[in-house]
Amino acid sequence: MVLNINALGHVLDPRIKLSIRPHIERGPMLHVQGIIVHQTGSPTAQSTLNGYGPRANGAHLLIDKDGTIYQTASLLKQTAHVGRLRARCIARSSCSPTEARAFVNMSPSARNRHEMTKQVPDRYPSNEDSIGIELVGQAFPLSESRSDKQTYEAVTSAQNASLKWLVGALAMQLGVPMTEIFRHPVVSQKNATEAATAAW
Amino acid sequence: MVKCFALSLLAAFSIAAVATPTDPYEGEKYGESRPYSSTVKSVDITRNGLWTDHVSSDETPEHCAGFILRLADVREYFRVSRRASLKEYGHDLDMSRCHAIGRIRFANGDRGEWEIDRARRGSVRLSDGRMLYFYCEACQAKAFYEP
Repeated sequence: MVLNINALGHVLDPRIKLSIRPHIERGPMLHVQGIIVHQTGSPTAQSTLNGYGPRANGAHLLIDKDGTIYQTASLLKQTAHVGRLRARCIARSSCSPTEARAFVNMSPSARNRHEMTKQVPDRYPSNEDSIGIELVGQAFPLSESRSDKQTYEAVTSAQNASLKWLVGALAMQLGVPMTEIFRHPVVSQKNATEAATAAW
Repeated sequence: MVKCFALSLLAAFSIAAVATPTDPYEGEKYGESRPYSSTVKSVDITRNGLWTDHVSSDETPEHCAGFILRLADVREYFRVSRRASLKEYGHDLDMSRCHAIGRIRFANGDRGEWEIDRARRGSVRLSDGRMLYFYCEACQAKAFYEP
């Protein structure tokens, strides 16, 4: 399962359609240490691609509901897909007492700065060192202003089949341990149901 | 047979009557903010210090109880915040479990319900069902996290 990745960071594989959106590409990504799995919040792949205009955030790969995989950014470029990192030591119950006390009153920005002084796997993979994979899917009900009442739709079986292949291929090719692959809400403060039904 | 046909027609009519056209700002334009230009006439606060477990964070109910917006903070929010798209609001921006809710009236007569969270995201659901989304980096209220 070797992926053919060219000098531009584009994957040359019949299972992946190149649909590069330069607006979502940021600085160079020197080392990939993790993969983050997202859901778009949009109904279709096209609406997601429409949203990748100037200054937009996005991820490297996009999987439509029928399992079609699009590459939307170079694997050699960072994209702003993660957000501010949560504290990994809290999830592991391994924070020092001093650190745990400090986190109580720390803003997400301050916590992110603190986490970025650490290295993976002591922190979660970040924008600087992770590949993002988006799965097309919305959170319902749409006309609900209360974020605590919106739930992401289930990932389709075709999406999960493509995700499983893609994660396996990327992890092997880039040397990413399977322990460094996360759903988006694990690594930053998001709707807790995002990608909850994704499987790889 | 006639009764069956009539029931089918009634069912079809009922479905058509309750179906609403797809909102482009929840579909192909979900990366764009909905055009809306009216100014805020009045706001009130229904509840402060709310907590939800639907956002992935380590914020506790006790922590969120300290998220208290004053009326002046809410007025400032809707005066200086920028409009956001569904993509930004529901996906790109960091979220907080801590939030406040209230009601809002616009100068054009529209009414709605607002929600603002500690991570500076805001939304208004207008009474006709349209959603407006906001993000306020410039808001000065100390209750917010730093931008």
